[in-house]
Amino acid sequence: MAQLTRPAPERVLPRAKPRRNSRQYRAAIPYLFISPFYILYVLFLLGPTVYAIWLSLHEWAGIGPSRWVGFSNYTRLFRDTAFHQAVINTLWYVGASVFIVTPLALIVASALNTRGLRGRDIFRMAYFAPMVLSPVVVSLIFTIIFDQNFGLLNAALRGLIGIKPVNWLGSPTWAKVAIILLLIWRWTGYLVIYFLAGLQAVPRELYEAAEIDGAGPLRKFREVTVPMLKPVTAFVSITVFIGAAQIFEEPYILTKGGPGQSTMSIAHFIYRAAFLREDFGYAAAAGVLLFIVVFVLTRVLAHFFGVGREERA
Amino acid sequence: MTAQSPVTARRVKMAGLYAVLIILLLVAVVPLLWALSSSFKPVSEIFVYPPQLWPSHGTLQNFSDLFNNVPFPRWLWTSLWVSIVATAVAVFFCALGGYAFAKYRFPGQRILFDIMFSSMMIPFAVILIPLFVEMARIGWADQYVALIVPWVAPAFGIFMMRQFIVQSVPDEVIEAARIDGASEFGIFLRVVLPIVRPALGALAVWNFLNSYNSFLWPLVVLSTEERFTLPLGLNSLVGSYSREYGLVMAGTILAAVPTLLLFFFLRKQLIEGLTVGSVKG
Amino acid sequence: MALARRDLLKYGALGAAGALTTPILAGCGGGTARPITSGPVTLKLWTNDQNYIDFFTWYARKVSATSRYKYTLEPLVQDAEVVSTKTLAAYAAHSNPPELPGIEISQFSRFMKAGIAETVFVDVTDRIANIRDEFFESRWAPYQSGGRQYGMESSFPLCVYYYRPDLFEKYKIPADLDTWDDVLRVGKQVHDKHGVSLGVIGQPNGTDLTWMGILFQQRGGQFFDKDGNLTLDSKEAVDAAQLLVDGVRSGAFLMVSDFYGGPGSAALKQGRTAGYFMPDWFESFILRSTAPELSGKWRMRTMPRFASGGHATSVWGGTGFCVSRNMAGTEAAWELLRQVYLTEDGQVERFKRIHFLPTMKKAWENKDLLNFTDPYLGGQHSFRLFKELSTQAPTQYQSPYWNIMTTELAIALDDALAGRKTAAQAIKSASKSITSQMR
Repeated sequence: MAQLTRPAPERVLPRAKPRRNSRQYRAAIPYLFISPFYILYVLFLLGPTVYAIWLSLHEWAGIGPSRWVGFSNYTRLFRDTAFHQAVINTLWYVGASVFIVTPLALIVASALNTRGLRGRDIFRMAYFAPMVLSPVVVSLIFTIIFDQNFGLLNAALRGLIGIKPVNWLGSPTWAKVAIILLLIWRWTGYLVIYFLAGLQAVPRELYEAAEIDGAGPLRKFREVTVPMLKPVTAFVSITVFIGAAQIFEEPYILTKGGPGQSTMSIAHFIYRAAFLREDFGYAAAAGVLLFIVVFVLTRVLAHFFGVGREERA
Repeated sequence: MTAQSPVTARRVKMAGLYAVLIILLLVAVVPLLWALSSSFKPVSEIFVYPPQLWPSHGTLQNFSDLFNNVPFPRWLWTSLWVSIVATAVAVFFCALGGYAFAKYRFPGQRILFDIMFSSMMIPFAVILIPLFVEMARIGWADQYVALIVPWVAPAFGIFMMRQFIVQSVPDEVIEAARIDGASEFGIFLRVVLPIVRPALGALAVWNFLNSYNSFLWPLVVLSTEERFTLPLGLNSLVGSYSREYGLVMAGTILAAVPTLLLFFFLRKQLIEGLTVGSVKG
Repeated sequence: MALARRDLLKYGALGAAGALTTPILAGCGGGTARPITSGPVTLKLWTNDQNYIDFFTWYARKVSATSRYKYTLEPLVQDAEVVSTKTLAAYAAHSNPPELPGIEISQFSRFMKAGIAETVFVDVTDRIANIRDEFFESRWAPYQSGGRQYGMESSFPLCVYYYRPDLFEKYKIPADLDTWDDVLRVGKQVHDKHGVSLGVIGQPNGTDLTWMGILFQQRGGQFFDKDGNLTLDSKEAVDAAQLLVDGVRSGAFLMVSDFYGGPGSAALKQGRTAGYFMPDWFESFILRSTAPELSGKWRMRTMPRFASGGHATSVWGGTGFCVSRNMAGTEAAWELLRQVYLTEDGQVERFKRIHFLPTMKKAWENKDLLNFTDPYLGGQHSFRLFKELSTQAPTQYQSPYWNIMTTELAIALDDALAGRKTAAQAIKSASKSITSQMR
């Protein structure tokens, strides 16, 4: 197909190099293009990953010999209430990320995409700003906001609604809410970038056609934006899901997993088992479990969004 | 309905829109402003209550301490060049790989995509030590290469570019370029990349942020303080029982500047991409 | 297609190779390096406190002048937990571990699992045998594993009561608070009338046991005994936990979510508390740096005591410096550490330069130190008060399960402080939970 069949004195594009076996060359191209990832994967990721699976069947303190224990790490996990708690907590964070943060970001991005909006640059930069602060400072700021006695939020609530001070960081339920608020603050504006990038590629003509049909903003959103944006929405939702399943920073910096373990995430559980308790086998087992669950659920999500089926419409 | 009504209705809607957007802007930005103003306060004033947005005794002491007492410029420089190099390479490799998965049919594609895709789900804490052992074996411990090379083709970026290319690049355009005799790589460079510039910008921002804010991996890999990246440097100011809050504030503010600058410079990219014009279908 | 299959096979083979090499490589041990016996030597010193770096660097110059070694120090500072993580990773990968790691006391248990300490640290038990009695035994104990000594204590974190006489006068607080019961009684009145407390504690939040640790040990209890058995389930623990609960409930103690950050600083600077019961490092690290404007307004006295018995003081904190074994610089590192920490001159200079209290008995007799006055405390002879307390300090024993104990006890205390459990229930449930995880 890439053979040149018409010799012409003038070409629009520079003379393409003559290729021998161009069919094999064409066939090899995709492999060539994805090879950087695979070279790195084999060199750096595959070995440690396989090793981690092997490690999950052992007991190892990181230094010294390891001891075979079969599946007892896994059975221990199933009995471990701390692990159960971590799973439940992570489910909350995943739910908030996928069902609150992502739609919110899409809505804000659509709002920013409004034709004729001034200052789009400033808004975008401002919404992005929460991501640039280092976790140490974010945690400082948010304890200042959420502290029961000295916190700004309670002061505002007391002034506006007159309720008693909420023990944001000391109550298992409210601490999760505080972290979810932190998640929303930190990630919404950041996701707006991706949605905006996707929205930019939706041709204006489609919106105009819909307007001619008498569609209002809600219908335009539903009938033009959402379908056209499906691949990007799929990408954002799936990566948000994967990211939230592995969430570490926000719970760790705000409450260090407390009070008790009521905000500890699975990734924090793994880190604690590996590094604070020198229980690498146990951590690896938890990691394997997390991987399996995320993998399965992501397939479901991908299927739901039709990832891999967009071509050949 | 008079002719004025739609215009007024639109004005009211726009005003409402602006109001909401501005409130969101304040929510997003006020903590940053507090950190900014705190960097100009003496330590004893940072935590007055109620918190003040404006310093009562503005001072540059924190910044001068930052540059005189700790090697802040070096931390900044290290983080900058490592992140920029890593990002430049990563954007290229991810776009390349994403294009292959998006626009080519090849045997084993399903499995290869799944493998790549699933690599995003491996919890880092689990592979940290084995990976570090490997680094040590090949002599990359305490080297900058270890900060860059393993991460120059992240699965996230490949997945992202694939989705964006699927959404924005019609097959017809690629076919047309092929018919015109362009090489595959030439098509990638001259046809595909311009169309997905917004995605490239978004990927650059993501990758830069990731690399720039990365803490655990550089912590384990680097053992010489001279080689510290910014997060490591700033964390060294948070001691066990004492915290140099003045330095931390000033350092955090300055550390935030490159990312904001990058975002600022890429904003055109993030907005405009070459939309191909023809309606799909 | 042939090409594709070949590629997949190739990848598969490479993958298998990659997978196999990592465990094999991980198993290889690093060889014993040839020891440096004299001349220039560079030692890596990793710690969480810049003060140690400054002091060691200064003293190393002094030592280099008279020793056969010429020392250069390569420092690294990160927070306590992270520096220990990094140290462990360096040992695991045999990749440039520090010759002189400074392990914070709460992190030491991470090195006690599976004989890690024995593998990576120099066993100094015999080396210190002849001078052991010159030091307070209570500060040898926290850095032992399996009965052998590995770490050298850097400070003596004695606990006292810091208070503000001006606020005591302003709110008519009786100055002779003797027992904790007095504190509760008076504290409630002062809090009800003026909104001021007599102490501040930080929310445990699943990680911070500082105030429980201080009170429990003062009451005479210990978390673990000399043989590593959990001794938490005791009357002393319940008394200490009960005091915390009663204190917070009555307002005698103010509880903040972040003791070292915004809320804690606000409490301090706004005068919402008239006192703190804290170790000595509280003054230099928190009081002086966060509230320099309150200089001269603070004084220090012995803590209120438990009427039912216990010590006059308590301890919390500390950092143990160990020496990594099998490194070229091991002997040089030991020599430096010995000079800096195990000589009277080193101990005295340590207090003079970075204000860490000595652990050597003789050093407490030093005239200069006894005459030391603290301007922040209004010129008080703080050292003399600490000297009285040094002989009455409880001994803190370590265990490989210290981290698990911390988590479970902090969880239980969170429950008790929120009223979801009584203090007695909290101690019982924590003990049960910890014991079940001690395998």
